[in-house]
Amino acid sequence: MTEAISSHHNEENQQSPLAGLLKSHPETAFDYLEFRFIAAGMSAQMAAERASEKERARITRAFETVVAASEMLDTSAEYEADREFHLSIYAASHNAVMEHVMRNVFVMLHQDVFYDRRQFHGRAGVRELLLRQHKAIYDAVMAREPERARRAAENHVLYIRDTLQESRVAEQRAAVALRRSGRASLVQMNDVET
Amino acid sequence: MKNSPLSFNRAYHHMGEVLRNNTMEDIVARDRIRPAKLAEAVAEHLESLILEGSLRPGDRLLAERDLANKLDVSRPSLREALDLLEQRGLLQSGRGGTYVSGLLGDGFSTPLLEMLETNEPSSTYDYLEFRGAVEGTAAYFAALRASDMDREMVHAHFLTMEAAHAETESDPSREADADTDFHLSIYEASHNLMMLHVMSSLGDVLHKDVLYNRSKLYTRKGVRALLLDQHRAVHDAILSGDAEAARAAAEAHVNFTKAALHEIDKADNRLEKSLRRIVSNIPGDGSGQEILQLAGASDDFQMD
Repeated sequence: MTEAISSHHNEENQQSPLAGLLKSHPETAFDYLEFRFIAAGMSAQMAAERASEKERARITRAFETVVAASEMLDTSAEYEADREFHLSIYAASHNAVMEHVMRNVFVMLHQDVFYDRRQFHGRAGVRELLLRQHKAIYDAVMAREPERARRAAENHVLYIRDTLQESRVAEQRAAVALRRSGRASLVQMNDVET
Repeated sequence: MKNSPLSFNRAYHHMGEVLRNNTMEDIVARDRIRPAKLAEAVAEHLESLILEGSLRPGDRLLAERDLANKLDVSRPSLREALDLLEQRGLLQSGRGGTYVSGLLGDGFSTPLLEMLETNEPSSTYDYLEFRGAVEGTAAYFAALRASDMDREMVHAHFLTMEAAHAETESDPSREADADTDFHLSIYEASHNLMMLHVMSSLGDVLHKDVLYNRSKLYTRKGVRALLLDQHRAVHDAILSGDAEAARAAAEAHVNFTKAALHEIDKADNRLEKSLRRIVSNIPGDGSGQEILQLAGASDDFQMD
């Protein structure tokens, strides 16, 4: 059934109007992350309960690729591996509607709608933390511990949210600093007390 | 843009462009003060209305002249704005006017419909399982975030449902419609635009199916009253701002719906099986009068 659904996808050609709309309203990133928090937690929990041997093998392959990409410091390989890892968990949830919705959401957000993933992975400390979070999800799913898997997946999304929030605030601060440094162009410097 | 080191979001990217092309002095003087073209401002306004759900997929806009009057802009500016939005896939012209497009596109709905058709009823349960978690959270946020107007809407839809419940014992479809509106108003009150659009697109795709399920539920004795009580619990929790209670009530409601449908399906299956058994035990071609009567009996089958 899963194969039947994905065969309809020509992923790179799926442009939904919503993607453009979200892209021009960066604040909706946080709505997306709230939504993903629910789906990620629920699907990790269900995957821990329900994954078949075949699905567990796919999750393992995906996780090994995540580790390898992280070691190579190759952000675009990391991004692809990350995506496949999460999709393998959605697929193991045994909920066809959940898998369909989240696959579409991933496809829709493919083109760096909310943040530049390369930059995201490249930030100091982020790579190690992301890897540790993926490992926590992986371990709990493989140990068939639903509650732990749900919490691990939720933590992962919360971390992304916090990091995004911090970097947005950092941009605003950078913009303020930039404008201050250009002050000389707007005022008569002689009048300004220093 | 993808490879730009400074494109963490649009504003930052814009800042990077400005930096590369201008001197530091230019930035303070020019950044963000360029006035937008009127048509772009109109397009942006309409876009926001679509994003926040004030305009819904399938809505038909006013005729161009009336809309231009309403927005207090010239017709050429409006025309240009509508063209822009059509290019972005947010509007489409069809018979008799301009319509708001489905936001998630055909790639979302077509495979979903096919899946539903080939895997009924298991996809219905999948849908309800998924919805249980999402709607619990939507109710939670609605209790936290609803403005006075949102609360009024949730309340109004509940009253409509209650009235339909009291008045039309014989016609469950009005109550089922009010039920749909009530749930949409919760997604709106949650002020999470992602949940609103994904779940309402999903709802639209499943509309026929959901209606079928709802009427299936609403025709069962006893179930209808239980559903109303559950909706009341969700309503009360949202209006009183009790987020945890709202989550619990919404989850309980969707879980009940799922369990009740399951029981109904099981009962129908049992009935079907026993009907088949009876049919196969009847000598002859199996099209006897008794079978017709038995088959008719399934309509009166009650869950409780």
